[in-house]
Amino acid sequence: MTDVLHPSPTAARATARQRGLQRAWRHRGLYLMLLPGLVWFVVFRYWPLWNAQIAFKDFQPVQGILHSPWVGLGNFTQFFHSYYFTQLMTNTLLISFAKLLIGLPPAIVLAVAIHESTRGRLARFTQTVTYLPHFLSWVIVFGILLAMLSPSSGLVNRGLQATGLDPVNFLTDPGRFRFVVIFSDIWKETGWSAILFLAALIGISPSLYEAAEVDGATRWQRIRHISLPGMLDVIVLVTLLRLGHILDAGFYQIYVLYSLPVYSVADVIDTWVYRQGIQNFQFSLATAVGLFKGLIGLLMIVVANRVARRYAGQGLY
Amino acid sequence: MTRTLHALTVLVSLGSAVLGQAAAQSADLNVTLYAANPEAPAPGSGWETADLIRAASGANLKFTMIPTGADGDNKIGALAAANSLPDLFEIRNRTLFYQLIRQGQIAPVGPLLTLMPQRTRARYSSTTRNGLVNENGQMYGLQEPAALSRQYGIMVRQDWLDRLNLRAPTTLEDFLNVARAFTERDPDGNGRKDTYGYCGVIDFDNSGIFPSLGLGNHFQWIYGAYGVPGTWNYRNGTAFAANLRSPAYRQATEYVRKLVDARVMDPDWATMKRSDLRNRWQQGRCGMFFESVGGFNAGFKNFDANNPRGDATFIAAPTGPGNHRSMGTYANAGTLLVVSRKAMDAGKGQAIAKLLEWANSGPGYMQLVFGTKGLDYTLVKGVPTVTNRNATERLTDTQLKYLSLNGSTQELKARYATARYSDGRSVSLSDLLAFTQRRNNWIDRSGDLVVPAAPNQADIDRYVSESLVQFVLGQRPLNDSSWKSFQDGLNGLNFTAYEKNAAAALRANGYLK
Repeated sequence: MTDVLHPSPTAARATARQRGLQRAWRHRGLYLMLLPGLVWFVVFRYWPLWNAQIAFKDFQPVQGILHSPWVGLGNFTQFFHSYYFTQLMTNTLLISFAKLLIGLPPAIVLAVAIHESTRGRLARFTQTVTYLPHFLSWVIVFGILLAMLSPSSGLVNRGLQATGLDPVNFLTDPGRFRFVVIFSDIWKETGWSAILFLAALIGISPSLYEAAEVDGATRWQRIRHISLPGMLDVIVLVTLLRLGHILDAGFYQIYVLYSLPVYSVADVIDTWVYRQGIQNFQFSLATAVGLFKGLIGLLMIVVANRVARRYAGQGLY
Repeated sequence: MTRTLHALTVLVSLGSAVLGQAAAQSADLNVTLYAANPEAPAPGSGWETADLIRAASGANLKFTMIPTGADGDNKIGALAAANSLPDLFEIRNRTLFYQLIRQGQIAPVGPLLTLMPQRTRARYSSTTRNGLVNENGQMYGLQEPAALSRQYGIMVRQDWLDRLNLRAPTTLEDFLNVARAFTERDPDGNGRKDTYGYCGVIDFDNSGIFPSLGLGNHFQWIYGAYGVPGTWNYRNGTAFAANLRSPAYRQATEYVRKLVDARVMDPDWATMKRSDLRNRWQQGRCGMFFESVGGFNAGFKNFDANNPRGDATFIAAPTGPGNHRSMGTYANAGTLLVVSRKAMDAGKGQAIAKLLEWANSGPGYMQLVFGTKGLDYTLVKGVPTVTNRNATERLTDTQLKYLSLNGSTQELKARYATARYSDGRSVSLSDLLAFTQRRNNWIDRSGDLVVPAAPNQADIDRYVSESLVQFVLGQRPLNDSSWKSFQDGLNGLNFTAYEKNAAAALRANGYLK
């Protein structure tokens, strides 16, 4: 029995669909703006997933992706059984986590410092100067590092020699190389990373700071109880996104900076894939490793998101 | 009516034939070669050579120049992965060559040989050389005989030797002594300790010299002085093995360490790139350095500007224990040209053969190697002599010369002319080339070209090179137990199988008895 108050399920569904369409039409401008982004995702993110099947095949370009022979998990096994697998994983995770854990705080501190600065010009100048290195390529940064750290002519080593100390080859010493990698990354990217945190700080209502000041809160207390909690969403967001790329330790940086004497502490998954997969033309192997990295990244995001929701009350989704 | 239909049919057929011919004549021919003159750009539109090629082969030339080294190899690899290989292209990476054969992306070139009889007679009549490109009884590439190899060597600052009253080193012991003097006795007289005895880098470029496992080209002469240059030791017959199995290999490594410990090498050697090395010798910081004639020519002006009265020349490879000496190994084979299967299937074989035959001799050869007569060169007593035309334009005009080079003396004289110092002195680059080619006891290892890459080749390369660098830098002790540990580590990389496969391939191709 159906009536106006209790419509049949089919009629209810039709009405809901109609309402949905009407709503969509009402916001057609927004949907139109969304379209290029969606197309980009479909073309460059989802469509390539179809091609990722070559990770399970012996890819033969003449036969195409569909008709290349299947090899099962052979490419994955080759990677897992490679001579340097353990070392590659260790280096990748160490460098990646170090960049995350050591690199994030300076960006937060810089953002807070710029936000707290009462001298507008100085703050803007500092912000510009600190994010400029982001635009330098790693090749240029390598040139700068060589000029600074070279044992024959580097500024640092000249300073060491002037004080009677022996020169240190920072770029070939396995004990020091990871520090060079991490701190050059921090130098290059801190200013850029701070922009996001600064945006979060600007979004905090000034009335909160005014009220705290009236109540006699010190600057440190304002930072601790207003700024940092106000940035928490963004900190969690950035951390989660970076965890998704935890197996990307920074190919360009490592590739430009590393050399044979430091392979043992610097060779990461991506540099190995470049040598074994790209330079030896094993494209299926390279894809398999890419897929593996993607799956680990996805797993990291899911787990970290749950942890973040549980303990910080915030999450990515 | 019937007659009209017949007439129409004839007209349509004629039209199709004419159009077909026109289509065939205007077909594009995609040619990709490594940069012959990297210091000059690729030719642009309106290139006279392209018009001549259209007249000779009936095809529109689409020429792409790729960088030498890994970047160029990767570019070809990427084109192959996209199934978009050029019609005719050069290939330097043998791993990729065999991979493309296996994947069926390149075509057997046998059918082309009869279409270009003169070129085949001149260039592809050696069974041994053709064997380098044979697979399953088919010839998959056009292996050119002319190799601009062995153009590297050790250069020494003759003016520094004269200033310090030293003689050019002839033995490893001399070498260390001279290097020490160049480092410690202020050879440039500027009052500062800013010079080094020897500058070399870890470099595996395969043009002109065969890179071997280990420390690369710039240190091969040390392994040559111990009788173990290159990767493989062909002389062992049935006991064939990699050179690194030999005790002499360890002794050579110990000598490199001696150079490092004596601090006579630029301490940046393990991280520097070839371009850094070139900057340094041009700045006058290196007493001896590893360089090619082409590299010296490219940096000559800077060197002259930075080092008034500077004088650099080649020395012969130093002699080591047991009177061994060799600057390194090389392949007696030049450019390898291949044709994609797509091009052959599309019927472009004839146009390719016509182009190559035209490029082999006569006006086509002269155009590609020397440029346009009267504009780029003139004939002086029958010898092509470059004009005063802007060098970059001349070099751009000859970017296709890898299709033509035959290694003749006149080619070398045209490429390596005379360089003049600003104070009027001159140096004949072709004499330098002749010296390094003839006086360095280079060892022909053409057979290396048939050795298949191991499935884990990158890991093997890394293991050997990394271990040697650790030994010479002192990061790892160099003694019996550490050397044994290094040798034992090869087992984990399946190195024995790599050696066995190498031996089998060399035997199958007649390089090993």
